[in-house]
Amino acid sequence: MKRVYILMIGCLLMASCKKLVETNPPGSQLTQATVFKNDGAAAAAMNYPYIKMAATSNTTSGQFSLDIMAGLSADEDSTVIPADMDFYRNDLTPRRSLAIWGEYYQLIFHVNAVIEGIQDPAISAAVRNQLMGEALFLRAFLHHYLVNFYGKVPLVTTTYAATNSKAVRAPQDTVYKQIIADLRQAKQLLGNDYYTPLWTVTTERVRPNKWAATAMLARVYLYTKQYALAEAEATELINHTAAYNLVSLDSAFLKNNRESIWQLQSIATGVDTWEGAQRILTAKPDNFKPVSMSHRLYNSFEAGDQRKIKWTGRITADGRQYPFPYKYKVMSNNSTNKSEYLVVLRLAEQYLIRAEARAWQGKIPEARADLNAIRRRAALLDVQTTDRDLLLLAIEQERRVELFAEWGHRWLDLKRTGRIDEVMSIVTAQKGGVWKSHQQWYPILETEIRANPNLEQTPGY
Amino acid sequence: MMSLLLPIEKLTRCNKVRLSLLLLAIVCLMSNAAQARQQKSTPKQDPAIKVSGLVLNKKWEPLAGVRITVKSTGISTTTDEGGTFELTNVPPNDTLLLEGLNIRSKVPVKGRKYIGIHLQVMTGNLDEVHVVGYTKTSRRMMTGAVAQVKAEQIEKQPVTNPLLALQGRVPGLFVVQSSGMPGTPVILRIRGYNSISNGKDPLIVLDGVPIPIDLGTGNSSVGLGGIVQFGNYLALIINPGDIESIDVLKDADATAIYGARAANGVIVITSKKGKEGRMQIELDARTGISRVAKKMDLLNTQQYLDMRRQAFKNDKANPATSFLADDITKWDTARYTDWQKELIGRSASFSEARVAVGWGNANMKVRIGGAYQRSTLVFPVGDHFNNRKISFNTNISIGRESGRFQVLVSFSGMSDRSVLPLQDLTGMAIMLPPHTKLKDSVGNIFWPANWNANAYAELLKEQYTQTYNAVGNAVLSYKLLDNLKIKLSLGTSVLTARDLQRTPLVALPPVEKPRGARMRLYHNNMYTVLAEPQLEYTLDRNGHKIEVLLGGTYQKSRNERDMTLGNGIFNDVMLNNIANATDTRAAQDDGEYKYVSAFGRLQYTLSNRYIFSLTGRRDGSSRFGADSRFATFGAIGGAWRFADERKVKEALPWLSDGKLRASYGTTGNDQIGNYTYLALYNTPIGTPAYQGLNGLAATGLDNPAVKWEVVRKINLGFDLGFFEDRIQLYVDAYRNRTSNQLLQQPVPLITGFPYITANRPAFVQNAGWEFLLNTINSKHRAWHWSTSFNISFQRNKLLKYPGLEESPYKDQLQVGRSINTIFLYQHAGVDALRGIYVFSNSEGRDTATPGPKDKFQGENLAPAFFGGLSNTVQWANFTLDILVSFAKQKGPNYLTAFPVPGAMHNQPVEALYAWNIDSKQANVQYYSQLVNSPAYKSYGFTQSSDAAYTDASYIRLKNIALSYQVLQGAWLTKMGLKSMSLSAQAQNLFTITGYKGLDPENQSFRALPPLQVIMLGIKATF
Repeated sequence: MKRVYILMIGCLLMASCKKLVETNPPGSQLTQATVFKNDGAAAAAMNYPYIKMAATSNTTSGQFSLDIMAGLSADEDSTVIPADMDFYRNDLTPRRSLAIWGEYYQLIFHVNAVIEGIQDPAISAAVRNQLMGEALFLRAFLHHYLVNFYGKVPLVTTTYAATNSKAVRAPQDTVYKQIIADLRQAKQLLGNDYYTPLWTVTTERVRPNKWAATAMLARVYLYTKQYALAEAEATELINHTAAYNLVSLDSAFLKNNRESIWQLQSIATGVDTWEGAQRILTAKPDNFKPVSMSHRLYNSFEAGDQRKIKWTGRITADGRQYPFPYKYKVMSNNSTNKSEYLVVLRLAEQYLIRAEARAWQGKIPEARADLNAIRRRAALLDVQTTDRDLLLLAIEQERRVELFAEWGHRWLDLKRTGRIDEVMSIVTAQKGGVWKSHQQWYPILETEIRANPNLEQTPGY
Repeated sequence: MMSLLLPIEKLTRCNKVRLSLLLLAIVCLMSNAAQARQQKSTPKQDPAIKVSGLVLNKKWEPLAGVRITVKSTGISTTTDEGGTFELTNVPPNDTLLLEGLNIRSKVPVKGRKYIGIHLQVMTGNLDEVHVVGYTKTSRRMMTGAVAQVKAEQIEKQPVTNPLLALQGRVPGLFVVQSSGMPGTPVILRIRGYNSISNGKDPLIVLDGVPIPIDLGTGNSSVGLGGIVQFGNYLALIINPGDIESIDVLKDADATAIYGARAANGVIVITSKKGKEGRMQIELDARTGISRVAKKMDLLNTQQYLDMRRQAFKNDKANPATSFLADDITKWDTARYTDWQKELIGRSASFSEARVAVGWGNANMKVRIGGAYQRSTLVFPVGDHFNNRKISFNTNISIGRESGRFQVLVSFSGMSDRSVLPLQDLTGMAIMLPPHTKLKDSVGNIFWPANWNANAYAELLKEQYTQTYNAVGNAVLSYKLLDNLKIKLSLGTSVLTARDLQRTPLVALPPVEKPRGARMRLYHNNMYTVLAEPQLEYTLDRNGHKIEVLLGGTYQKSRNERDMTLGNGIFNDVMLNNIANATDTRAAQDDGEYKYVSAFGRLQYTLSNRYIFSLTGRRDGSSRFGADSRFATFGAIGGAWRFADERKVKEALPWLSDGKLRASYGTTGNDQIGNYTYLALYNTPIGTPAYQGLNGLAATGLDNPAVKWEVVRKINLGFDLGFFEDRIQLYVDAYRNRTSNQLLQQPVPLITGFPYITANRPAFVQNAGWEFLLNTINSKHRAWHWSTSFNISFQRNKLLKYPGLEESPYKDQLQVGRSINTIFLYQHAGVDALRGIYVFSNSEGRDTATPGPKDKFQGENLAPAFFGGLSNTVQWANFTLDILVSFAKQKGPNYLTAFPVPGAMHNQPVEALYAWNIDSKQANVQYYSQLVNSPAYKSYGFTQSSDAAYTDASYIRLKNIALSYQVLQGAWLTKMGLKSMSLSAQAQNLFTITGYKGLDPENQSFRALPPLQVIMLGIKATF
């Protein structure tokens, strides 16, 4: 019987032996702990947000890209399919929302994971600075779009789910404070040059550097009406002629051109940019390419504006004309040799930011000069007005025809300038809807509010 | 065994003299001749001897559980499941007293060392062997709730998945065939739904080795495309014909020994073993057809066009300028195709051939079975789509049941290959407009403008699936002492699957052609190794029987998956190799699961009447966070065989069996996938490199606190037998409570992910009653009729969920109601003025736009009761077996699947006679084709209203099997045939239901309904 007891005890000991149920983490996957023990793996973790944004993101591709949704909501785009009508007629409901909510917060999670992870002493100091700078820049960039599409939004600066799942919608100025803090820190950490993910200098302008942070700072200062600061940042950039200057209209969207401050590398298969693939029309808009440029925008170009000739296209089908944005010329490209990258930030916007910032500060001639720098490139005559309000309207119009079909500029401009009700009450009616001011901020999905009862629905929905 | 060599007819007429002679013969054969001589020469020395023996019933089958007592010493034992016994220190002239159900007999020892005892009793199902939790037992001595389906019942059903044979036969087990496509999984729910969001599948154990129920148990980042995701693994390992029995373990007493994996019950499958006797060869062939039994009544072209034109009229829209009106303006309106007949109306074929060879003697028993199956599909492409299975099953046992050393080896293996379309055509068959033109006059694929769903193109998208799966188990046992046995069970399973999917250019709509043809290639490998040392101790003395089982488990499973996507192939000939793709992407995933435990079972039986059992298991599983990997599960059970009490026997002589059972215990649920507690980083599938470097991304939120779900089970039952068990009644009442619910708790997207896995303090209760009534209605020699009826009532209830109101489940769950409840708007018909569906809101008023608060109408989608009725009639050489299964339930009807009437989809005839401006009394709202029109929105609410979830109860003639046994005949003998039988079988022959849809069982409008099968078979035994 002794043997029985020995065996019994043996069996019990076996079960309490924790080692037996220790599994290896899956060989094909890394964990948070292993990723940030190594410079290269940490760089790959930072690489993911760019890949997501560049490859198949709602930011850049398809019928529900950020740019098209904002264009439909504003006065830039038209559509033929019923599925887009709630955007087009400014009739959104909490059942449907722009997908950037989920996507951008997911990217913010990854960026925060990098920020938290690279504090590990195993990461070398130089790498930590570079990655930290990029991560902070992206966190600010992403929050910037969220705050401009939704108004009050949760400010997410940690990966800790227990905190985030109870987050409330922070006031816009709180979010902007964090955006500015992140951008300022990023500007300090990032270098002058463009780098590859493995820290060699490159001519590829596809990762944010110090100047990208500067450009975003200029924009955010303008949006928050800190005009002197906006002017200073834009000036810093415009003066850095060693790297940046306005280029011809034909080359402003080519890869790595000198006007671009940050581009997303073309990595999707079969296309250079989704903008080109989705927006260049070769036939009447249909289910697959439903969106065209609105006649409203098409007709708002001044006579002789070279941008209408070089940056827009038009097809005629069934006796109707369908204009379309034609900034990107490559519709499909199956080779790996790409000629166009998606422009995120470019110098022309900085001129217009400075023009507006200067106008608000009463520096009318300087403001006019910046505006005219952009107009001259489009072969337009100089604006001569000395009236600030007229000049501001001229700048708004210039932004409309310069920055159309890029990152929802028009939709954001109308809101930050407070002109949205004035403009949209006419435009929405023309689009077949009724403008309701609350529609300027998108609703949050019902399911999101169910998952976090602390989230309030956007007022009005 | 000598006895088994003799013809049965002679033996049944044996009288006592003949029996004695026969037993003597057996003894002569079995005993060592030298010993026998010694015995004869020294008859008067009288030393106590060791006696072993075998007890057989009237049918020469082993009798288990017969108590054998040595008259003078009182030492006793009981026969094991093989009918054998062994006694030491028996005076050679003593007498053995035999006791058991309907048994009271004396056998003189007469100095024999081996005694064969043939009793003139016929035992019923009470003494059949059940393989339950590492041990074997009989229904007579069982303390837990266990049901069994045996080979005869399985063989009568024309099924390829053995789990389907359980349908309607097991109280408490609800079985749903999810699709009529070969290889699709069968859903099994034992005693309801314990877990709100985790695995609800029972543990499946084949010959001692746990088998994953399907490939979906991991949380792999590598998905599986296609319609068939390999289905139930069991069906990919063993042919139903090689299965001896399937035991379904339900309560804590029966399942606690499986600890953390047994929350949802356990299904134990035992393959057929070799039997003693001369070599026997069974040949068996079946062939038949299967088809979709019921079609939906849909609109014809004229009705469809009327609906569409009316829709445009209602929306004040002009089809001529509409983007989506080609069906009215451009298509040939004279066409009509019955798409159901065209796409899913074919008869598929099935054929099967099986062979089994069995042989055995006292020292060795062997059975080898092999099977070939081929089935085709109901889709209209001849036999191009098909499924083929070749399987092999072997069982070898070496060593006597009563000997010191015994080895049992079981092996099952199968090669399964199928060619299937990527998509089930059922959805298209019911929703395509009836005049859609999808082929041109020469039979080529035709793409109407703005149309990119072509059923014929779907048929050109194919998936080739090949799996090679094997499960092997070896049990080595050694008797250390007479009553102490040490056992080592070693098991392994190897599962491999390869799936190749091709989407050729010819199957792509014109707009997609520039992107090129596509291929996908998946590999899945999974292996398990298992070692279970065990110790069995039995003490049987003076009416006290103690059985102890102690054991341990070490299990390690690994799964590996990889997937390659190939895009941009511009020539269909080049679809032969994924290397031809201009753009390939790959993903890879692997996982490891370790499981370790110690378990024990103590059973104490007093006088064969009082049975008490204690089961415990300490489990550790790698699926949980480092601090919560171990937990203890256990159960206590008891039974009282009151019918064996002398006073009861005297008072109620017609009561042949009576037992009260009770058990209480806990089991756990670890069906949560591997690594849930960890945040893993990988390169997400399909993401290209950026600046030459790939990205790494976290796949989820980590939660190191993830723990077990625990189910506490109470079971009370009684077994009754009347009139020599001609009537048997088994009743069970149970209550299972699951706590610590591990939920994929939705979290707001601002956390970065939609879900986190966390334990919530929610309690779910499943309570119910199960009844099984077996009767032998006629026992006449030439006319034998028996009936078995079972019915299960179950009720699920969310007992408590603190914080439910703040949780994301507040709209899906309600305390006091079933977790299968769906909350719906209350439909209030068509508003006569506006012509759209309206709903009663929470204040009782009608509204066309109900809000979340108005979703107060709860419908429980779990069955209220279900069961089966089977009748077996034997007349002369004919046997007829009829199984009817039934369920009382609600389910989603056609409204949930069909788009709004008026859109460019066909509709059931129920959508006729809609409201319009001229006739305002209607049950159907006005037709509309406009997205976001009031009718469109109202229809959306209707799909989430009680009008869309209606009765889905059914009574189904599940199975009917007729067989004719050719017993005798000179020609049989001449051909060396022992017996031969012919059979006809049918499955799902007809259904009585009020369900508004294709089939009340799978309730699907996208997947084929379970098919009607008719089959003919022949079986010969040599």
